[in-house]
Amino acid sequence: LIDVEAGANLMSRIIFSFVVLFAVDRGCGLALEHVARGVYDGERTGGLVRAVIDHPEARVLLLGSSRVRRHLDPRRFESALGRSVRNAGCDGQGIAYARAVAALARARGSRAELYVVDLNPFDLIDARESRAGVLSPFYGEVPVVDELLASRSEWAPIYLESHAYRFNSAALPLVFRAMRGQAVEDDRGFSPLARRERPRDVDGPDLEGDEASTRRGLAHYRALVREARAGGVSVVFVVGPVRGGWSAADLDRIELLARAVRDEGASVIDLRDAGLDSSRWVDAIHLDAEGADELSRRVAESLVPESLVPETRVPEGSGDTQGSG
Amino acid sequence: MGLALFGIFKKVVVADRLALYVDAVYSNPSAHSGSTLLLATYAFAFQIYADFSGYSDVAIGCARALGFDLRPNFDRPYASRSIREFWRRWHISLSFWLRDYLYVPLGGSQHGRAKTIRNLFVTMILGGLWHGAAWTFVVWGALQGALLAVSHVVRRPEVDSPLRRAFDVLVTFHLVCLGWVFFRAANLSDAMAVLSGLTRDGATFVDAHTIAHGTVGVVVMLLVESARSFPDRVRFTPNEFVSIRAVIVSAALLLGVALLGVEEGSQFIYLQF
Repeated sequence: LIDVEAGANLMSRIIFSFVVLFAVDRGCGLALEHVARGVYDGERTGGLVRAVIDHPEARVLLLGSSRVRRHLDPRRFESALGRSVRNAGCDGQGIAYARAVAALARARGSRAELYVVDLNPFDLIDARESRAGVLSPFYGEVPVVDELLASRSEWAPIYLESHAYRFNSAALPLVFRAMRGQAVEDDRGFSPLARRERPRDVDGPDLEGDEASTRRGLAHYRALVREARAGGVSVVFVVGPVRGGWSAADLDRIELLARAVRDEGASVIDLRDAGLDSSRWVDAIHLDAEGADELSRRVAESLVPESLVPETRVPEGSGDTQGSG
Repeated sequence: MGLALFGIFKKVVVADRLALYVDAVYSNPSAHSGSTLLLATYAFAFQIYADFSGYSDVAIGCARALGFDLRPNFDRPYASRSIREFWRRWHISLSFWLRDYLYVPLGGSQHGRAKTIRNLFVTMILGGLWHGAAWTFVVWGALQGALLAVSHVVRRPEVDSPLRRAFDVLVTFHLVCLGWVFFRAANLSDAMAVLSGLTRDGATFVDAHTIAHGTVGVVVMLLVESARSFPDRVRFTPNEFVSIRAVIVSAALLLGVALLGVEEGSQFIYLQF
């Protein structure tokens, strides 16, 4: 009743299929990893992450979204602090990304002693974990990244076993950028926006968060500080300005976040009323190059008198830092 | 299972990717330039084809794996030289159903030209309504009816050359795209905003990431379908080589889905009908 030969034939075909699939997947993943090395550009390809983790010499990392990448000039910080600084901000990302990049940098031997992080109330509405796909090529390196990627869907841990999938939607731009060569000048990750004659009439996101998203956002902020301090890194959060000022709801969120990070031992620099020239805004939340330069100077100067920059590394697992709170 | 995998490729790599661009443009048509609206309409033509034919391929492939041989539902419809030919190649199961259960019972083409035209109109408007109770589908159906009526009345010249064929295919494709504007738009006023905006000047909104991925997907899809439509050229004898080829093709399709697919795609368009 049982055709043993046909069964064995079917089994050998199935095994053969898996072997081919495995080989193709690993081959493709390896090839893409090879291409990715040295491509330090591209928000969706992990290029900006590689630019950070492949420069472990930076003593100060600036972390956050486009409000960091476009606003904070590492050279201003270097003049004020006398230490090498790298901008690790990325457009469209949030606190989840900042936390993951910091963890990756530490795992790759980062010598950073201070993280300057954008305190963004929008993180309590959406911490943007859904955009963590950009970190997929780094799956398996640190638990923070793995948990973040795995939390995106119940199938994610299975998908991520595929090395090709880790470059989902990144393979084409990676290959294009690699073929084009490293044309982008590496300005320590800083990329200011061009001036606009008229600011774009696009308001910032006007969304309401729910309790779960608030809890998730707060957890990321607390965890970032805890993980950094465990690695001997101090953390300073910066509340930057927005065009027209923060709304009442956002101010509440800012207070909530500030309280949480101070509880964890971080400091907060409040520049929400920085009084920047109103013509410097290119939209509701972004400054042009001159506005960014002014804001960079203010943040950098705030770091020095308040002695927020540690002189030496804090021993692992120690208590409070010099945070002023 | 190769056919089912190809269906998934069409859905995840082509349809879901193009949907990102189409949705962005069609959600606010009056804000975009004519070239952007045109590009989005072309993109929707391939999105809906990849979505629906991908859905059909998955169903046919799964059925075949279980021993049921279902008829193909699409036969390279955008290579059609007329609207009549298009409807013989697009959503074949629905076209046959409309023909057998609406057009023929209404009298078909047996009672003179006027009644034939009326029957075509009624059939296609009901076909449009089958997609949903919205004026956009009514207009879409009426447009198909009108085009079929014209196609019925006007006879194509007996000239047959590669250039002529290309011209016919191009004209037919654009007439189909005209219908897709009504099919895709959220309402009639959006559809009119698209059509009236086609002449609007302005920069073309190009999401390079989406367009590049979508184009690669469309090219692969068309190449595979062209190869499938010439079976003599790619026929292999049913020996061990066939299964090795099947394994390699399946691996390539899975790799394509893993590398180029949209992670959080939408459901199949036709699931809502």
